[in-house]
Amino acid sequence: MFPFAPFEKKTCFRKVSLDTGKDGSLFFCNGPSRKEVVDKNVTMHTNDKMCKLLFFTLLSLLMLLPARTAPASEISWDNCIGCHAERREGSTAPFVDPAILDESVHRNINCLDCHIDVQEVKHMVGEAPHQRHPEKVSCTERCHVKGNTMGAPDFSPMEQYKDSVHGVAIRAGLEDGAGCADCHGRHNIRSKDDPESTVYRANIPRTCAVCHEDMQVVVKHHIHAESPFHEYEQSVHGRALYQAGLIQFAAVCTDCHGVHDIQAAGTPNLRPRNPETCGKCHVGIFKVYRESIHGVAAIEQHNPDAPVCTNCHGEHKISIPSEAKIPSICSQCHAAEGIMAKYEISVDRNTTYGQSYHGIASSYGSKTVANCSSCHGHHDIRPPTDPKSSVYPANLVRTCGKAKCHPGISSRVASVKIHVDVKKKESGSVYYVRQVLVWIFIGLLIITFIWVVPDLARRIKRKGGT
Amino acid sequence: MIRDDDLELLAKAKEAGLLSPDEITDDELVPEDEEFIRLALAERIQHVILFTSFFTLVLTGIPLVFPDAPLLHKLFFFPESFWLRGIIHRVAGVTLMGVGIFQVVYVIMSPHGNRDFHKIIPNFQDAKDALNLFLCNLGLREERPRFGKFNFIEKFEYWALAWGIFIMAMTGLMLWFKEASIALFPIWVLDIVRIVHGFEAILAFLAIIIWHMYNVHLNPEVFPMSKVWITGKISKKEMMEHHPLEYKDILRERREKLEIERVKQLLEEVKQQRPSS
Repeated sequence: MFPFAPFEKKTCFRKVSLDTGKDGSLFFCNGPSRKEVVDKNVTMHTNDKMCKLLFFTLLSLLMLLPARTAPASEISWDNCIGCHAERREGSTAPFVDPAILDESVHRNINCLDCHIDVQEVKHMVGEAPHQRHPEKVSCTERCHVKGNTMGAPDFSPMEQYKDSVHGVAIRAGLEDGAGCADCHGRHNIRSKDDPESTVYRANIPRTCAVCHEDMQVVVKHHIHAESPFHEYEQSVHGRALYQAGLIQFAAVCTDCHGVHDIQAAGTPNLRPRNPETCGKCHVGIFKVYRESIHGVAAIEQHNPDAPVCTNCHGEHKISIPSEAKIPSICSQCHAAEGIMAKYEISVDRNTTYGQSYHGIASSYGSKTVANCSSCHGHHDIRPPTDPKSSVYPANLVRTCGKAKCHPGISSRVASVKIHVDVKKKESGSVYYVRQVLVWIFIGLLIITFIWVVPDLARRIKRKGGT
Repeated sequence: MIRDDDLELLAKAKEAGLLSPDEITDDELVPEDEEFIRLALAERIQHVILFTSFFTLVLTGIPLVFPDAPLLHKLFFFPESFWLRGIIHRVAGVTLMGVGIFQVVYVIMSPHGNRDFHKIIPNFQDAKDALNLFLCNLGLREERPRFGKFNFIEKFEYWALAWGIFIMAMTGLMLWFKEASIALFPIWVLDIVRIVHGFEAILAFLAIIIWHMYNVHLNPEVFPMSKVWITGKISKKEMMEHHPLEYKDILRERREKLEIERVKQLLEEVKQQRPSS
């Protein structure tokens, strides 16, 4: 489907899991990608012939030992350690690093407290130590629920999680749906305040990236953002986190998307699209935006056409917009006939700007020249009829007369019609002057043609003659 | 210049039959290899400064006339290029205005410039010449019109240039000092000024490329270019071909000069003979 993307993404995935180091799930660290783990449900990764041979040799050695059985109630880590605590040649038992387990929040919990379906451990000749493969661990069956007897923190956001995009996926039976372990880890679960934890603020983007940067997952589930982590890394937030180290201040995935209640793109009033979400941190800008024409429409009128923060700033790749790009950003809506017609705003704002000196200079990369926001403002855009607007006629002297623009400009600028389309009759004298000049130009061309052709013919003839 | 009383003297002498008309031939007056000065050094320098600043203005102004042309975007590739474009445009503009002002001073103050300026003023004959040359080009007329020092095309170009520089300088200054313009004029004037500056630029460029380059430099007779702008001189043959009336004037002037000299010489001889007799 995507001939080269999966390879690239897989490399990225490896990088991510390597970066997380011990934080990543044990199974991840050992080798196959999460995808492979999920698809094949493989916990044994030595399935070549050579290993099988070794396995049987080992089994035949075990035949010499007396059979030993331990009832479920008595099984503890000590019983598991025999097979799982060491990486043994030819062993099919998944390796669980005791050191990692010891540092996790579950250091005092028995294996079977989580792997509740393992009832007994016995070593019979020719049989696996336990009869079947343990099922997926459920964190909320006995422990992380309200009123549990285990003394575990109750998982109060369970209700939220159920309706989240991940919870819905799990309920729908999708194995890929992120469950507790996908974010919090498996044997290495640590407190979110522990810098080694997968859900520690600074580690969250990489934890999410394990799935969301995996092209196979993205394509399979039609996930809206294709490489959000890659984009996030370049964003102001990503750079604040990774370069400036503002661990407590830089927004990470969960700050915008929510934690257990993450919703799918397209959900009405989606949290990351809600200006109030950005406003949690960008308080000052939010206050200004809320009163602007766009803010009023978006927040008070719930108008889906109104641009919210992400419409102008982008989603994961949020950056300080380059001045040169502003006209193209505004034109996403202001040059769109369908949207502008609804609000009776002229659709030619962008083309007339493009014809003006400001627009031309901007298109040639001038950074000093005025663009949309130089006159209309950024977050405080208001209609020209609003006396608080920077383009309210009486305010134009101040707006145009900025120190770096046209200092000392005459107050007559208030009468200026800025967005003039010279090609339209409504523009008046400019239109007629242009028409006259166009006809003079055409006339001159015709006269020139009529003159030059016979003249050239005669001169060539004469030159040939002499 | 020949003095008027000398001319009167010459007329009287001719009336008295003192001079035989065939005494001096044209070839004696103008040697075969003589070259005539068409452009004085001051004029050649003006021409060089004029076309350098003109093409600089065209090149630095064209992005504003054709903002969407992709090639131009490649020309102005680095971020400050547009700012630099503006600076160069203004420098070239001031230079061109300088040439314009110098030309005005030149045609007033310099005797050569002043004499030529009188010859470049258009008259009714130019209109007739234009029609006749057009008919001749079409083959409807045998004889080409005979031109003086400046033919109607050259006159048209000169005045088009003068007018163009004036318009471009005025509108250019208004756009340059836009804050002052806004304070002085109603705002729509500035919109018009911008349109006029752009269109006049296109017209000027076309006039130069088509009219001047074709008529003076690129036409088959002098292709690839006329060397007059470098040497300032034209040959006797070119003079007779393109400026027969001027040539006739030169011949007449030289002949009169020579004849007057002879008449004076004769009178001198007569004076010397009288006292002795």
